[in-house]
Amino acid sequence: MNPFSSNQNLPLILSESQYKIDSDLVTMYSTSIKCEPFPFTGFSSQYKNTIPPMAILTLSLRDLVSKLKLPHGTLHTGQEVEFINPANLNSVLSCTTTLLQNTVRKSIRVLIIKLSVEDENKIPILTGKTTLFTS
Amino acid sequence: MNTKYTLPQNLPVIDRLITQSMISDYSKVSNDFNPIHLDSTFAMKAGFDTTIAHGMMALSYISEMMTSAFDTKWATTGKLKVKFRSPVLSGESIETYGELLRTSHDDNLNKAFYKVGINNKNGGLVITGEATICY
Repeated sequence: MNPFSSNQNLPLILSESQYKIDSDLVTMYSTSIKCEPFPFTGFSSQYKNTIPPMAILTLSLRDLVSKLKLPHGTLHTGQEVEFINPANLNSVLSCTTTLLQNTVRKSIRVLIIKLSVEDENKIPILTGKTTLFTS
Repeated sequence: MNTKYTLPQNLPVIDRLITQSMISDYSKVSNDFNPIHLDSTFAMKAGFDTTIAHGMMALSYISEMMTSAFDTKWATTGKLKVKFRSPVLSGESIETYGELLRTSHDDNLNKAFYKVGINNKNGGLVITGEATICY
């Protein structure tokens, strides 16, 4: 798969991955952005194990980032995300990323990638769309 | 319609000093080791004064602001659409903003739309966009 080729039939699935979000990963995320340590004291007891939604988005994109091998200097210019359901600590999540658009404008390649995350019971967790400008 | 819920006009400001240590930690979480985030010499060759933070890292603070204001409503009903306007440099301070734009009632759902974003210390736009929650 070469995501940088213009000769593709779109949409094109770029990655399909499964991962478990454990407390170590969430702690790594919380530490890096210096937010309140997990679990959040502000959440009601029903949601005390809810993973921060942006942590799910960040961790869901890990596999894509590895696979794409984007050229250095690639710019992330836009992001959409819809949080549909909360995910709890130690959930096993599946993430599918799909290339929706691959066009070149004035020597800049524009990639639009959709991602969908669901849990082990096929319950949708989030969907999103990432726009990248690359050379 | 839930008439008891009072929407905040302005959302709580989240401010952070973004350090290289945080950016390096976020590289590990996101698996994104693009040298533009880690190597100041490379970043300067790319036209920046120093290394820059990942866009998704900065975006985390908007999500933190929304969680702070809406608790688990954000993780269960939130939508976000943003553009990354300019990078956050290592050593730069940023702060979020959020202001109620309008409300709607469609399909038995009350929705609130907020203008959200992040500015740097000099007032420069880092991220602009819109966030929606159901209440």
